[in-house]
Amino acid sequence: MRKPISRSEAARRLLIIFPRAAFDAVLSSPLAGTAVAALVHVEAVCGKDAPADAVHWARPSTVMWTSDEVFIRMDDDSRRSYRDAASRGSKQVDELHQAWGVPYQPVYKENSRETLRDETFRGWREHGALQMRPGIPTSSSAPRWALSEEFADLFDPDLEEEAFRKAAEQWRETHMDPGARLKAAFALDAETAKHAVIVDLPDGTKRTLENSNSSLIIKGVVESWAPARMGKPVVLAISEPGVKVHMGDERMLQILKIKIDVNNVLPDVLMADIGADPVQFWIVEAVATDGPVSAERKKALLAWAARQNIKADRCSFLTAFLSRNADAARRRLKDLASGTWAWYADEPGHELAWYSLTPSADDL
Amino acid sequence: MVPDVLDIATLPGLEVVPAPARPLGSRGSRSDVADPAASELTSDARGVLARIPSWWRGQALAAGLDGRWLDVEQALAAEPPVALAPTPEDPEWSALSAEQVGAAYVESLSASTRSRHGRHYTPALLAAHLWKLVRQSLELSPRTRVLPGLVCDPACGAGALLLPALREHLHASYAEAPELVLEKLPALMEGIDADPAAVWIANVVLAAEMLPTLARVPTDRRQPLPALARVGDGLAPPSRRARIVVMNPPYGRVRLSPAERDRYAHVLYGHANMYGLFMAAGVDALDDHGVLAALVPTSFTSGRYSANLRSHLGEKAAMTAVTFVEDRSGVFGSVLQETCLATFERRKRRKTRIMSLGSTETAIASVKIQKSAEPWVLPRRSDDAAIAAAASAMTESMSSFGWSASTGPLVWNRRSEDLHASPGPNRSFVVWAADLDGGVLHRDAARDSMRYMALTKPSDGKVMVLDRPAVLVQRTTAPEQSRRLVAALLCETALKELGGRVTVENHVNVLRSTAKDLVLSYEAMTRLLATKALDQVMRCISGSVAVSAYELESIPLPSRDVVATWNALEGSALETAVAAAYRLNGS
Repeated sequence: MRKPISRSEAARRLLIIFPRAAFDAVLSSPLAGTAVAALVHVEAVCGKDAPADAVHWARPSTVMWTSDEVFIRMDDDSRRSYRDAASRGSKQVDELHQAWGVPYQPVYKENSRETLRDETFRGWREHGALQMRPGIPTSSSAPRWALSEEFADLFDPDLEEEAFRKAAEQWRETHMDPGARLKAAFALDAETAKHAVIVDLPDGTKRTLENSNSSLIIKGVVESWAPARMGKPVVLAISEPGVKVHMGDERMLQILKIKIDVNNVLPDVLMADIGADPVQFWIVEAVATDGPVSAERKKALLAWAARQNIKADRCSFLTAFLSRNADAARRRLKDLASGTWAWYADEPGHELAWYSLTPSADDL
Repeated sequence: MVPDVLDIATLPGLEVVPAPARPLGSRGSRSDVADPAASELTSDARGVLARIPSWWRGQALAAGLDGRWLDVEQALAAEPPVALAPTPEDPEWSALSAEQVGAAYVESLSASTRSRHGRHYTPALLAAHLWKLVRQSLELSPRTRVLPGLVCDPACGAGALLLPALREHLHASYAEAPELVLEKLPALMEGIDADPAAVWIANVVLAAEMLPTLARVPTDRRQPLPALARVGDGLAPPSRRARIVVMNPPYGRVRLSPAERDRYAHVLYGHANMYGLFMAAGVDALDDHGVLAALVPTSFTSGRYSANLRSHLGEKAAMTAVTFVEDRSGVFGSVLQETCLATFERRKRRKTRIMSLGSTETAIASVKIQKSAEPWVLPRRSDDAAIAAAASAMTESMSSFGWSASTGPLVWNRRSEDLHASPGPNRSFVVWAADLDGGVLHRDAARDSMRYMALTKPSDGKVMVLDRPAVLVQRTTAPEQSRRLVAALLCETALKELGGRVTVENHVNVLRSTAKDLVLSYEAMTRLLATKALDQVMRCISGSVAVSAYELESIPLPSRDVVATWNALEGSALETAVAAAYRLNGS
C-alpha cells in the first residue's frame, strides 16, 4: 500500500497546490486535508488507465468515519480492515474500534459529509484531482470516489519539500491546462457512455441517461409504452435523478406554446400525443424507489402543468414501474391517484387503470 | 414617474453635434442616438415588423385569448414605430420563440446600421447565463423567485436579456392575482433603447410572455398589457435606482459632445468607448444592494483607455465574478474581441470568481478583488491561477522601476514610397516585428524589399529613429504562437553595425529605462521577458494576442532586491528563480 500521510501534512500540502489566494478555500480546508489522508489511507487511488473494478473506490463517509485511532494504525492490515468496515457501514466501523479495544470517536460529524461531497469533492474533480466511478446511479450510495494517481503522488511523505513544490507546480501545469482537461473530459464521456442508458426518442434522436433503474423505466415508457398508447408521441422533457433536465424538441415546445420552468416540480417524463385532437399531454412518473402519481402528487403536477400553459383537462397521468414484482410497485400500488394509469416495464403489453366508477369533479 | 416615451429634445447630453463631413464608421457620434431609426429601416426590417401582428395572434390564441387581445395594437400599450401593413399568416413565423423574433429583427438591419451603432444581438444561451450569474450574486434560491427589485437594461435592443428575468418572475407569481402581477410589472422591469423599432419589438416579445397571465384575468377586468421598454438614452441618470442592471451594451468608439465629455470625465481616458460609458452609468444606477451583469469585451480589465473606468468600478461596485466566453462555445459568429460576462456588486465581497464558458462552465480560480486603475490580473486558465494571484499582490512593476514602453513609430503603408531594399546615405535600417522571432534580433528575408527607410521629412530624424539600445518586444503575436512575449535585445554593438540608428516599425514595442539605477540590465530584461513565468503573467493581464506598451509597463514585478538578483542568472536558473518569485507559498 501507499505510504500514509498525516492529516496536517496533507492539509499543508493542499495549501501549496491550491493556494488560498487563487482557489476556493474548500479545496484546501482541514476537512480536505483529512479527506486526502483518509483516501490515501484506504488506498482509494485511481490510475490513468486502471480498469474501474480494480480500484478501491471510497465514499464521503470513508472520510467522515475516520478517527484518530484509524490514522495511528498505519500497518496494512489495519488499513484494510478499516477500508472493509467503512465500505459496509458505521456499525462495522464501531465494531472495528471495539475489536481494537478503543472507544469509537469519529473526527467529524456525519453532517459535514455534504460540504465534503458538494464542495471539496466537486472542486477537486473539476481540477482533475479526484475521479468519480462512472456508471453508478446518482441516488446510489455505492462507493465512487478515488484520488487521481498523479495527485495522490504529491502526498508521498518521502517527497522532500523542494521536490514536492516542483511536483505541485508541474501537476498544476499539466492537469489544469484546458487542453488536458478537455482530453480527460472526453475520456470520461466515453467511459460514462459505456454504462449509460440510451433512449430512442420517437423523432429518431437519442438521449443518453445515467445508468439507473429509473432510466431503464423511462426507456421502456418512451420506446414501448408510448408508441402503443399514443397516435403520435412526442417527448417534451425528461428529467433525470439529480439535476439534469433534457428538453425535447424546442420547436415542438414553441408550437405547443409550452414554457417549461426547470427550477420547480417536474415530472420524470412529459410527453404529448400530437395525433390526438386536441393534443393530449402525458405526465409520467418513473418509480424505481418511490414517487408514484398519488392524489397529492397529482394535484402538485396539475398546478405545475397549469403554469406551463397546459390545461388540466388535457393531462393524463401514468406511473411506471420496473415490474409488478418490484418492491416499489408492491408498496406504492395502494397510493395511485384516482383517474391515473400504471404500467410495468417488464410487461409492456399491459396497462393498469384506476378510476372511479361514478366520476366526481375531483377525478378530472 | 417616467413618461412612456421621452421627448428626445429634453434628454440631457444630446446637444446637436455638427454633421460630420464623412460618413461615420464604427466611431459613431453619440448624436446618432437621436436618429429616427424608422428612416433607416431596411425592407427586411420592415418585413420583420410586418409579421409581428400575425406572430402575436398565434401567441394570443395559444394562450386561450380572443377578440381584441388577438390584435397586438390593441392588446399592448405601445405604438408600432411604422404603420403595419397586414400580412398573411406565416407558418414559419408562428413557431418562432420570443428570442428568435428579436434576433430576426437585429439580423434584418443593414450591416452599416449595425456596425455604426455597435449593435449586436444577444445569443439566448448567454442571456440565460447572465441571468444565472445575477441570481448567484443576489444569492437567490435555485427555486423560481419573484423579482427582488427593479431590473433594468439600458441598452435592451429586442429585450433578450430581460426575457429570462420576466419568465422567472411570472412563473413565480402564479399564485398571486394575475391582474395585480401585470399591474406591478412596470415597477419591476424597464428596458431602454435608442431604436424605436427595437423597443417596440422588445415590448411585443415581453408582452407575449404575459399572455398566459392575462388569460387568467377575468374578461371584464383585462387591461392592455404594459410596455416595459421605452425609447430613450440608456446613459441618462435614472429616475430610480435599480436592484439589477443587465446589459449587452453597444461596442465601438464614440465621439462625445463637450458637455458629455465633462459628464463622463471621471471614467474617460483618451477616446471613449460606448460600452465603457454604459458600464459606468450602470454601476451608478444601482441601489445599495444592486448587481450589474454585463456582456462586454474584456479590454476594460487591462486597457489604458479604461484605467479611469476601472477605478470608478472599483469604488462603486467591484467585479465579483467574471466568465470568459471561450471561442469554441460558438456563441458569437463575428466578434473578434475576447468577451466576458462580468458581474459587479455593491455589497462588499473579498474575491472575484473566475470561470470560463465553453461547452460547459468551468471554475478557473477565485482571486482577490482588484479595484485599482492598474490592469487587473485575471487568470484565463487554472494553471495560471497561482501565478496570477502572486502577481496581483505585487506592488512594483516595470514602470515603477523606471522602464517605459512606446510603440514603434513607422506605419509602413503611410510611408511606402520611402521604403527601399538597399541602404543609402540618409536611410535608416528598419526593424520589423518578424525580425524578433526566436528572441534574437535578426534580418527576416521576407522584409528585405522594405529594409531601409529614407528619412525625407524634417521631423524624421527626431521621431522615426532610435539611436540608443533598447529591448524590442513584439506587439502582436499570432494566436497559434506559443508565447505572448517575444522580445529581442537591440544592443550597442548591433546598433553600431546597423549604422548607429534604426527605425522601429509599428508592430514592435520599444522598452527603455530612464532610471539611473537600472535594477535590471537590458540583457537581463530581455532574458526575463523570455521566461515562461512572465509569459504566464502577461496572459493573465490580457486575453488578446496583442501586447500593448501600457500593458508591458504594467507587468507586476517582485521587490527590487529580488529582481536585482536576476541580473546574474541565465537559462534554467533564471526560470527557476522567476517561477519561485511568482509562486505563492500557500499562506
